[in-house]
Amino acid sequence: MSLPSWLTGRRVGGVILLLAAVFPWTVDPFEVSLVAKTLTFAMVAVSLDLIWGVAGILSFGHAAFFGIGAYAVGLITRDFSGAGPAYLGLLTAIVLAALVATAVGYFTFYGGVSGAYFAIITLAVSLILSQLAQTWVGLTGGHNGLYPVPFLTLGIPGIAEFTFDTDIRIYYLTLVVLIGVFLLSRAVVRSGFGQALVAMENDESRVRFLGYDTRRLKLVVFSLSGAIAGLAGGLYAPMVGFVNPGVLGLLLSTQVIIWVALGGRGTLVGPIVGALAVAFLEDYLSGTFVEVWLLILGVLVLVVALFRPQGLLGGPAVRRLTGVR
Amino acid sequence: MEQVLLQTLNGLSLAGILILVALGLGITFGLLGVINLAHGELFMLGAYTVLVTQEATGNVWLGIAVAPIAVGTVGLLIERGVIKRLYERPFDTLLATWAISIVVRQGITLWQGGGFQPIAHPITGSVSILGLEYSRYRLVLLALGVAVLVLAGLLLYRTRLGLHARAAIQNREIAAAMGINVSRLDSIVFTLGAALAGLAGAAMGPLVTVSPAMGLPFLASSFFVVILGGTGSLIGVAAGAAIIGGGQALISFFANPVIAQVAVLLLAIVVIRIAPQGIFGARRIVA
Amino acid sequence: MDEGLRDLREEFRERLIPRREFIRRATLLGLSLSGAVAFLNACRDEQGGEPGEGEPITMGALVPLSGITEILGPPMQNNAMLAVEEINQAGGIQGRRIDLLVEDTASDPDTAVEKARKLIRQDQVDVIVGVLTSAERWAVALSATIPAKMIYINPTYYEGGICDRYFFNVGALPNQQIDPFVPWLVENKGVSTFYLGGSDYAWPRGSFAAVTAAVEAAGGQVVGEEYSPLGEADFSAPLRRMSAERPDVIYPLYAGADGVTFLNQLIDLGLQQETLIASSALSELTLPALPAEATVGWVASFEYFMNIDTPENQDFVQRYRQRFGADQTMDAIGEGMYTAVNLYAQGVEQAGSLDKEAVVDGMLAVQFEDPKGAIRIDQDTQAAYLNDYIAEISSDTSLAPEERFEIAETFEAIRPEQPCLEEPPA
Repeated sequence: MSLPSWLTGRRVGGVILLLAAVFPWTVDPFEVSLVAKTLTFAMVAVSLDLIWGVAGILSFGHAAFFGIGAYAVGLITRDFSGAGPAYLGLLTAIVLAALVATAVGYFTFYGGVSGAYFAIITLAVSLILSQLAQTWVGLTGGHNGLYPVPFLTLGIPGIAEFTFDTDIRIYYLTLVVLIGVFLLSRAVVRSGFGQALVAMENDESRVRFLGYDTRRLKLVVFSLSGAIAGLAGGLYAPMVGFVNPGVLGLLLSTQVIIWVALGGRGTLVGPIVGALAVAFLEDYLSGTFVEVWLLILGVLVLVVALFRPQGLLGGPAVRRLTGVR
Repeated sequence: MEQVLLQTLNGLSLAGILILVALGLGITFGLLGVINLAHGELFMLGAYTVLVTQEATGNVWLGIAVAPIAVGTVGLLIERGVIKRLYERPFDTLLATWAISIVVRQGITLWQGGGFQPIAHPITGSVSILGLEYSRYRLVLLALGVAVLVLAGLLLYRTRLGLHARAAIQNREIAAAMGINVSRLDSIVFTLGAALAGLAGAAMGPLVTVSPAMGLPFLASSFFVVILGGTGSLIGVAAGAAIIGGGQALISFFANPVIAQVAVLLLAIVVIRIAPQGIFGARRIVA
Repeated sequence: MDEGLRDLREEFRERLIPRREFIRRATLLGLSLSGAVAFLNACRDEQGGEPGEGEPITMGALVPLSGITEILGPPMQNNAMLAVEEINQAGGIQGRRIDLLVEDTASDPDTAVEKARKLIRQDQVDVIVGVLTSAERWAVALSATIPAKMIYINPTYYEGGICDRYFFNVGALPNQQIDPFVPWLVENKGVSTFYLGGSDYAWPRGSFAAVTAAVEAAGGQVVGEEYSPLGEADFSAPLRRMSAERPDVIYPLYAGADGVTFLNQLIDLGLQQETLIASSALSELTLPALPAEATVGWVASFEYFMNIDTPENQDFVQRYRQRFGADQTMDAIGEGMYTAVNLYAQGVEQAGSLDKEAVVDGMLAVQFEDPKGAIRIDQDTQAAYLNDYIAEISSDTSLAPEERFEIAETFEAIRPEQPCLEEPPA
């Protein structure tokens, strides 16, 4: 399917941005808060797409990094208010998640672990963290959770601080960060580094033959992916006001995989659409058909896996529009 | 001394259960390279088969006997309908089996209700082993696990089917060129794996809570067992089960159960790092 | 779930859906047709807002219909529906109908809070009832209802500690369920050593603090206390430790499905043959999942049993079964939803308006009959005075499970007591 020439990525992006900017003024605030929450999940989906869709390495425990970010911001901003601690919290979220990703990545990639084994190791890491969060009650509040996590206060510390305490403010903050994450990821994919990753997914030995250290490529992209997921978690915690071990769990890890696969692996924009579409379906169907909505989701995923493996937005037209690859 | 024996028994009882649950997964993963995320649901279907049979006939043993046949049939349908189309696409297999797991789970919820269901305990009480009380039924499970393992070993190393299967692991194309019907072999292997999951679920039914979500906790630990032991290796499954089961039982005696689980998961990670193909790995699967 | 219940739920949804459906559709359009949606929303705003005279009261019910405690959800939902229907059939409250909105918490604090906020902000309900586990309850109360000054009535027995002008509790507190129970066990069963095992979160931890105090006060001894993570599938290690201590009593408080798994593995080991199983969590919903012969003589303590032999309760159980099916069972939490709905209705009746402050004062002043006995609210704790019933499981295994709870002792109208806590006990 070829697109008319006037339909450029810039124009489509502009219309989508405009719609996204107008959107919160057209629905009630609660819907805005739900969409804002979904945008943080969309960030995790983009981060998983970097490692899975682009580099071809499946992480089965990506919630681990999201959860690390959520707990980091929750713990730091709960006891210290103001913009300074908020920045510190977000920074800790990003750095800690990246560090854990680096440690796991170094341990596995340099050990020659790949494929399903890597997926299982990431699964084990997220289960370990989730168990620790359950048990280390003094720090995390255990199964009861950690709260209250206050709204984020950003701006210039001590001079012009600004608290994101309404749904619309939170929405715009999250939207801006998501756009930033998308642009960063796209730049990464377009760079020589990203092209090496894409090539590595196709034929790792050839890339190695060309002089690239593929272990290092994998390690860097996995750390970046973890950092983005950590940032998403850091934005999520103040939004919902508390953190419980569910943010580290298997459920979120598998859901992210579904969003990426549904939307289209390796497209960066597909995962965002996937996350929004599933959240919308859930909101739309779960109230009306509590029992069958998951059934519908299951059938949908099955149909995609069988008949549209590239995902909903996996076609060449979307690639042209988004400029990914 | 008594403590050592006690922990050994604890570990063995958990290992016996893990062997049962993980063997089916190990076979489909090892021989077909399929990561079957619906394995937990096949396990659950086994328990529900016992429930339905028990309601109809009042006989638990009959249910346990019927379960592998019923669940094996479901497995055959899944292989023919879905998995067959996806052998060259491991990520899509993962996705498809995850979708199947949801569909099966929700289907059972709609059909049976989400509530707890009773399965009669076929054997209860304990026997005394060197002065320690030990559950009879768990001993039966351990024996069943070992028996199934031996049978699977005989199947793999003493039959023509097993010979073909091992040939196909080594090299699918050459096996096919030698006149082995690889596609039929795939169906048989997946059906066997499903039947084993059904047997495990049926046998475990009396010891757990039978509900649509009952398979989930067993799925993750089965994966660790299979990966740890090495795919495509029956001894590997036994070794993985022994390490996970034994380790957990041993450590949970000194620390709380959560620390034990964490320690065992860490152990699993380290083992995979040292032996990326598992302790008894036959080949690496790129998925 | 049986056919009848599902049909009813379907029918029920049809009645309450229009407005929610409307909002959802509006959201769909919002993504593409912002202008049109602004108009639609204007219409919705006219519909919503503070109900005037004769306009329906909207009530939100948070129940677990999926996840680890899903089995306990349907009786909660049914009881809320029954109470609402009975009120509406009797002409409503001061001419107002009650509209019930049911939301699934998925047994998860995260989801429970999200659904509570949805009820408060989007559906603009007048009151919230429900929530099962303590982790969800604390999260909903601290993160959703208390900040929004939303009236929230809790139906579930729990460890206590939530204090707020808008928080009411009609479930048993430890002093109403555990304090009478433990001395009764020591006195009547001749036991003195207790082993406590539960899931690792607020309810078992808070409740075991009460059990320990009661055991020591009664001259007994707690010989072991341990916690397992939620979702545990193999209890052989805890069971073996329990077996090694040879306590007189094993007192389990495992949540939802874990409770059945634990008891099934206990029965498999045969521990019940030498040890008394006593629990403030063994209910009409747990018993059917266990082999009947093994449970003979076990003891439970609740503010409500289906087997309470009063005309009011027999009549109530009959109405419940007429409505939802002859084989339907419920536990104390389910029945608590019936009480919670009626408490709010009585409060509005007393207040004479929907004014929140007046309704709160109204609920503090009312007294009414409930299947479990007379209900009135204590001014200090804002919790209900409750009876405590101790039941022994009958040896007659031919009875239906809920009929095997033979009431052995009744303590009447116990005044609720609790310390106020800032956060859940850990």
